[in-house]
Amino acid sequence: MAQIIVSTTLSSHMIKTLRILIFTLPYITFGQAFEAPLPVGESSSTAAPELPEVSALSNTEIYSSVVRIECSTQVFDYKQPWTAGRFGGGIGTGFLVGKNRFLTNAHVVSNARRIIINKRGSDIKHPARIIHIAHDCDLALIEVEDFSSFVGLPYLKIADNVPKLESEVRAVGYPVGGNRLSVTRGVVSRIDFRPYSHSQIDMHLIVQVDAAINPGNSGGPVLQGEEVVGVAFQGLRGADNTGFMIPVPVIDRFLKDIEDGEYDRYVDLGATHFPLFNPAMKKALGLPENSAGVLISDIIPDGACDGVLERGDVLVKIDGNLIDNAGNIEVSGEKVLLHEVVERKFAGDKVDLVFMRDGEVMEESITLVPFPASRVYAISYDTKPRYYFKSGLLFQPMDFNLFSVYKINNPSARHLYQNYIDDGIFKTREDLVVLTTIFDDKLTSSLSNFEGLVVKSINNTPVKSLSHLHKLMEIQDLPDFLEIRFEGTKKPLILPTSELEEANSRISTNQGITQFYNL
Amino acid sequence: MRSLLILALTSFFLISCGKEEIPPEPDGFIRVNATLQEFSEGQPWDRKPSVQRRGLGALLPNKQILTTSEMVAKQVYLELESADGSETITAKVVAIDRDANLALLEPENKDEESFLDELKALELSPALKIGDKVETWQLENNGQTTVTKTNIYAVDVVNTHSGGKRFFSYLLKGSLQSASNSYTVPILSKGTLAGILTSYDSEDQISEVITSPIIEQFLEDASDGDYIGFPSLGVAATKMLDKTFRDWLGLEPNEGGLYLTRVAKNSAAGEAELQVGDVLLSLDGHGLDLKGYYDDAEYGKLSWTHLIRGSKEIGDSLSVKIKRDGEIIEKKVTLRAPAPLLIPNEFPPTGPQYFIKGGVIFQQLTKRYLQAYGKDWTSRAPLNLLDVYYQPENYEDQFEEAVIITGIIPSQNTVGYESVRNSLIKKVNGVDIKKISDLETGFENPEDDIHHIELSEAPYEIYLNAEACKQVDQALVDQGLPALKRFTPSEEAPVEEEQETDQGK
Repeated sequence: MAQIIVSTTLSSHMIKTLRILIFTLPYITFGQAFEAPLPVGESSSTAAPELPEVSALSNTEIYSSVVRIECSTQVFDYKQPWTAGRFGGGIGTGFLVGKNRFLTNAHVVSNARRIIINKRGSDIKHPARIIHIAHDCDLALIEVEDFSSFVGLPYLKIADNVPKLESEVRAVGYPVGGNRLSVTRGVVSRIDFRPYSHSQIDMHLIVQVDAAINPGNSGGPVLQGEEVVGVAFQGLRGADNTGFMIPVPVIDRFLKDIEDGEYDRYVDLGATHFPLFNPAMKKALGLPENSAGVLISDIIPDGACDGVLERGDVLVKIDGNLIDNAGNIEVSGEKVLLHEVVERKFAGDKVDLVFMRDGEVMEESITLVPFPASRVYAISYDTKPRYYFKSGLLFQPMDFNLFSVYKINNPSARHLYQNYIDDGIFKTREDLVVLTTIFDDKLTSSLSNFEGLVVKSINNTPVKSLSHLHKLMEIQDLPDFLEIRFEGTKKPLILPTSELEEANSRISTNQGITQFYNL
Repeated sequence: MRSLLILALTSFFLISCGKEEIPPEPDGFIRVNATLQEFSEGQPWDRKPSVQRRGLGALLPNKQILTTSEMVAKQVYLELESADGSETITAKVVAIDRDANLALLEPENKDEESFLDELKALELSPALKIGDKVETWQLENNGQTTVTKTNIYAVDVVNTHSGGKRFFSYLLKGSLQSASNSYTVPILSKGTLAGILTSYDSEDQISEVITSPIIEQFLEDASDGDYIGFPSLGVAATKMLDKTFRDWLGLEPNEGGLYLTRVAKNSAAGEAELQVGDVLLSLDGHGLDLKGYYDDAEYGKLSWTHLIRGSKEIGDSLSVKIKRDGEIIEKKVTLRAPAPLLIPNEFPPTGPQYFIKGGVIFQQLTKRYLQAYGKDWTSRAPLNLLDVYYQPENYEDQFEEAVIITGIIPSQNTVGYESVRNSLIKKVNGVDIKKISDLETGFENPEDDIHHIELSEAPYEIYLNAEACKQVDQALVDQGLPALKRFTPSEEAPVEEEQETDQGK
């Protein structure tokens, strides 16, 4: 599962409540380290501790395949979407997993303008580029333009399984505190299903370790022996010795997903469930007191379960795994959420469901489908914000980035956004278009009350998307007045058609807007 | 302006007016002491810790005492105290209007002799004009009267700091001292009661006063022992300062008028078939300007709401001129008592309406409940409930009172339901829940000993074991829960707001 959390947890406070911080290091904190005198000649051997495991590769060999990634970024400005945005950058870690294939975190190379890879102990900056990036599981595969300097370095092997609780691991990378490679050790403290903070909305398997994982470690391998058991990626603010890594199943899935040359994202069951602990509820549903299963509370329209499951069904088995009353299944001795089954699958794959309806046992197989609409709840990267500017009015489609930048308070707008998927609003409205800004001008000076509202119609035609709105507003023979209506308010916004063009050039000149839309 | 006479002044200054001690001639002021206790939003059977509030009241000729509603709303005990503090008697509320911020009290036992008999009652003064001199009367701890002379520098139709509605008020300029009975300060003119001061801003030294004409209407209404309230048209209207918007509506450049954004169901305006989008041009021949002011013969520019709340009574007719699709339409409207709000602002005076079944707490949704989400409740309260609050017109066909689950008292009976709250209740055992008292009917007929509750949010249905419910509820009573329900007749629900609204935000 990935995108299901949506409606219940979404709020303007979401970023704050997750309290997870990503471990890329911004340039600012690293500036000093760059200037510090670098001891010459004192290289590799000091860093490698002895390992008890017998490995075919020496530590030096392993560490030589762990590289430092320097990324210059360009973050788009949603308040001025026509501008280039804000420039910045950060440091992270990556490691070689195949010929000219470096695995790292998506957040290390997100919004990248330029990526540089440094080999261990070398100052040579190797220009690199992204091959595949998966924001929903925070993984990316990058390559250098010229691989010749890396030939001969070992490819680190991804382990077969999730490491055991309490087993020892070491994290290798380039975190704060110096320029050279760092190795920290610890044990696996917890295996859980948790949010990935990079996109804010996706949840996957996660492994917590008590080895120090610090800013800059991001994208680095967490090793057991010479095998990679995870990719270090995030920490928890306000807690000690809690580092998190992306475990093998998630890495494997990513690597498999891109085999066809394209990353297709996670798929989702498209149903939410409610725990089935209450004896009266079980009795009413015609179930014995000790029966397994969870209550299906919502079906996402057009999702994988739409048309198969119904609200009120009791889901008992998923791909042969018995579901307990909390919604967990047992996978290799560990209790995990039932979504773990779907986690390892791809669009087009089948999932077998056993469920109870009206006291009858039913068996159906569903086909997993991609569900791009749910990305309105995820932070988006690498894409230039979409907008449409006309005569001092700035229209933008509602998504997570917009929601967090503009602090949209209007209850109708928030309610629509919250129910966008669950209520199937996405089926008729490709975008919820928000009038985000009204730039001051004699034409618009008394209109500021309309900021932050979702557009309902233009001259009584319901608005389906940003490009639809653009089309409606650019019609050649508009009536004398442009009548824009909004969700949740009764008073429309009226503009005189004859003055639109003049106002448009006047305001865009003032604001330095040269590009009027990106649809 | 809400700093209700909580003055930070330790020494006493006067800027534009004089202060003089006058001999304690018999006069109609008494101290009013109230013990107020609010109800808990989460545990509606409980009250929060009590607070004491001390204010003044003006003795009226019929031995009733006029004070502000703010003094006595939520009161659990009320007493009247003589100026010198030597005598006290218990009092009760005869009439209260939270919107006008007025309340009428009388001794619990009216025929009993008391210190009231020795006081000279106050007559109401006629309406005053701008520039008229008035006196502010306060009592010192020792029973001495402090009189501050000042004058009316303006009149306006302002919020009375209680119900959210606006009433005709005098504005006074001049500094006041912080006296021991700061809530409710009588204002006198030539020995008669000119109004009651409700707020004082110590920075600007401006006070707002509920005026004698408003008080007079309040007293007249209350005189038969059955207080109804001020009349209402039942609309919300907004200004149209944007020229283009006015052009679009076909208004002349200098033509005024307000744009109607809401017409309440079961209101005078609703009955007269006013519509959202109509332009309100004039009331009883008084044309409204761009900002909704009309020219009052006496006071100059006043807000349109005064033509309803300051000049009319329930049942009076009002001629309304509107513009719809470029056409002028005149209507005769019969003013009504304000229609009850779908989501009332306050708990009923007797306390929040609630019902408990098997440890599940049901409550009527009120604004007070939403406000328990804190200062920024408009962004923190659950969106589905905010939607009902902001868009009542979408729900008023479904129910008269919004009933929600506000909490679950954990027990074996409610295991698994811990996360269920803030969902609207649609049905119980097949019975539509249109108001909270319907729950009682609904829970009478469980099927197969199981109660079936239908909700508007996931999980959409929950079930309770009827037998277990009885035991849990009995245990709750045994543990000291005072009652398993509190219903209030719906007439007592607070009332429709009638004011200019800000659009959207």
